[in-house]
Amino acid sequence: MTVKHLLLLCLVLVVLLLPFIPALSEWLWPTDFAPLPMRSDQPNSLAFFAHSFRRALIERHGLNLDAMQQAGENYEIAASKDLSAGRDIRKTQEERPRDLFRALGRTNHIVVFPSRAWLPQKSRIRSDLYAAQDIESGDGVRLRSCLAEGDVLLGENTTVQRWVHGRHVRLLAHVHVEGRATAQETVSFTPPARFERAGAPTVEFGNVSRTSTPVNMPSPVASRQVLEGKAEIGPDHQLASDYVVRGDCQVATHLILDGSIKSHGTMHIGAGTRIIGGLSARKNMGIGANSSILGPLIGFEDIVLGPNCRIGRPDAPTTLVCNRLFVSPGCIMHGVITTYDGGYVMLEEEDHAES
Amino acid sequence: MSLALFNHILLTISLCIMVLLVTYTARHYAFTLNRLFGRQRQPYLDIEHGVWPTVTVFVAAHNEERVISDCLNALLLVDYPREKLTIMPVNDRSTDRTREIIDGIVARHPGSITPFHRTEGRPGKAAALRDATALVDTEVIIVFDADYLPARGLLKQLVAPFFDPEVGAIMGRVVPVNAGANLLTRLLDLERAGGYQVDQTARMNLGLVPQYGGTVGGVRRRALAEIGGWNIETLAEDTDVTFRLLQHGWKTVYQNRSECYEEVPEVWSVRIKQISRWSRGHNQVMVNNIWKLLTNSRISWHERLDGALLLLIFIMPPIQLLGWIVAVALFYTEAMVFVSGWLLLGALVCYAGLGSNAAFFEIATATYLDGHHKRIRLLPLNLFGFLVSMTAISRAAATQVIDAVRKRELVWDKTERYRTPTATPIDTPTDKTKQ
Repeated sequence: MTVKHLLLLCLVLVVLLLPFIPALSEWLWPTDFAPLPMRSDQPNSLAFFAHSFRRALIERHGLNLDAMQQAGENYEIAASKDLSAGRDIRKTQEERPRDLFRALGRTNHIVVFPSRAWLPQKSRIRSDLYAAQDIESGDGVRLRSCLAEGDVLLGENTTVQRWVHGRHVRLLAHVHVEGRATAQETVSFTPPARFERAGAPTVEFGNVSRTSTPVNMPSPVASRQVLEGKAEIGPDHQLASDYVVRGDCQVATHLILDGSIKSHGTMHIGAGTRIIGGLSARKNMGIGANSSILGPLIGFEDIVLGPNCRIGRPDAPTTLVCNRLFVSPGCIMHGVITTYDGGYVMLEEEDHAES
Repeated sequence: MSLALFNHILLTISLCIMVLLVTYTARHYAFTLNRLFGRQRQPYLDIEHGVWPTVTVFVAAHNEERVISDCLNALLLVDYPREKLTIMPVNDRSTDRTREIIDGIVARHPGSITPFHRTEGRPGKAAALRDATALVDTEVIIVFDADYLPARGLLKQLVAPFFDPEVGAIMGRVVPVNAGANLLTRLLDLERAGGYQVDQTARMNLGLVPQYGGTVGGVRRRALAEIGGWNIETLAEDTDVTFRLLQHGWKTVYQNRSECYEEVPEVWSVRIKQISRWSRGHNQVMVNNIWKLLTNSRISWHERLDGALLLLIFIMPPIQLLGWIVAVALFYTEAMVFVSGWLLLGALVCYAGLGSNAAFFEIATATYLDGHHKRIRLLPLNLFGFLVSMTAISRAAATQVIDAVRKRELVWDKTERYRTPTATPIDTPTDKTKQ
């Protein structure tokens, strides 16, 4: 055996054994061995950020929020490098108090308003806001996140970068919520508007005076029909059954179905239809005008809600999940909406399901 | 038989084995790349509200005095609507303190738990589940093994896919709680991560055949009734349910973020027994289902292909061992001249270059996706874990053939537990509910 052979052998051994050096080191002196943290311990709640924010104010910053609501402007807030006290500037002489707007412009900062908060038009707010009562903004405001124990009214062309939460949240035209809009009672969008996620016992889109009435509560469904290829579900079908359509699915107008539908292709629900169950489509889903659906609605692609539709019931909130959502005026959603690529509140119905 | 003919036979066998290995290699890589760069499909995870169906949670328990109380206490804290939930520990002929512990918890929480103490009948989880299923009339059945620690929000996550009328079964992710106990548990933690974080998730993303794993999962009772209930003749009732559901037009859903802690074996002998039992059960299901699956024209071709590859997975280790033996034989019979043939050479290159690394690539990807940057260093040691598994599975397959010839019944044996009875689970749901 020559020196060359020996060198080659050594080289091969080094290449073979090299990966075992960090392996042995990690085995003998462990640095990363904890079990994977459990994410499902966190409740699945769209208002999670708002609740966490409120909890942080109490636990980390020592605020007594109940006392603050009682005392209003008289509540003493201890300012720190992370937190400042705000005040309703409509009651002050100055139009834009310098100290307040300096605090509102700081990142990683919280501004607490012990009563009402007013954000003048075209303000750029980088801090997180808390108001013990209402928050109102002028037009063209850009804010990060805000929590109000009272109502929230955001003016036209306002942008919310993360989330907004209040008792009633009213968003005027051209508002863009890049994150979540949630409320204890009502979120109200004025068309046109954009959002990513929204949740409340009632989420209203535009004028809802002519929205269809809720469906009945479901009774247990005992059968399931599997339809091959493209299919239309009409009055001649069994009307108390779940359906799986292995193709495109069309549901006749004014049909009342006690069951859920899954479609492998697109799904078109005719106008005035009432479905006491959930809908799920692997492609686009279009819901005709004046329909009422119990939910959930699970769209693997886009969902279009025609005018005056109602999803869910006030006493049975539900979920709508899809890639993109196009909502016509007059719709009401009871529960939560999650979109991955945005929800669009339209001025009038457009046929996006075909696109 | 002449040497040339012998070599020819060996080469043919070798080629077939290589084709199989390369197929599995391509599958591993496809799954990994999908997980890294493909579109993720988890549409049911965001379901927060709905008219939730009635649910029974079975906790399968046979001599589980060390762990049963932790599991039941965790289940008592889940956020599922109480009036729609039945918690039913299925105490299957336990001879230790399991019954006493269950009855103690029932007494402390009257009306919250409906115990089922099974004192006779055929042994085994499938038989116990079959008897328990006959006692319930809820729409959905969720199953946990007694060593599992379900988190507060897990049940809703597991039930949410059943709003889709095509879904017949759901599977969540299993996470070893004792990952740091010793080298074996750390290697199993990596294996589990690869299997769930990459393999199962990619199968879900691609619309293939995610597998119901018998725990941290559940079935729709109507679908279960339609396929004839739990099969008590098999050791792998979970895999059996997956494939029978598929053939009846029901889908199985995997949710990667529906995680639940379990215990993994801390001793090699227990691990060998566990994987041998899995292998025997899985191969039983393979024999019963593979032909029906391949010839079922109502199932898409890609589901049939993935299903067949999944069914054959526990046959691959003995086949790979055979391949090594054939390669050595070919070497000594001077048949390597044929290796210069482009096909064989190509297959060899594919296998040497890709096949031997594909499973490791999966594990490495899973570790990266989980955000564990240092435990990935242990990856080379998984080679030894695989060698042990390969030997155990091959031996199990051989004895299974012998048992089949002798018509001996397959026997269920229970996996040993390591937790002390009073242990507090990591990151307990109790802590979260206090917040």
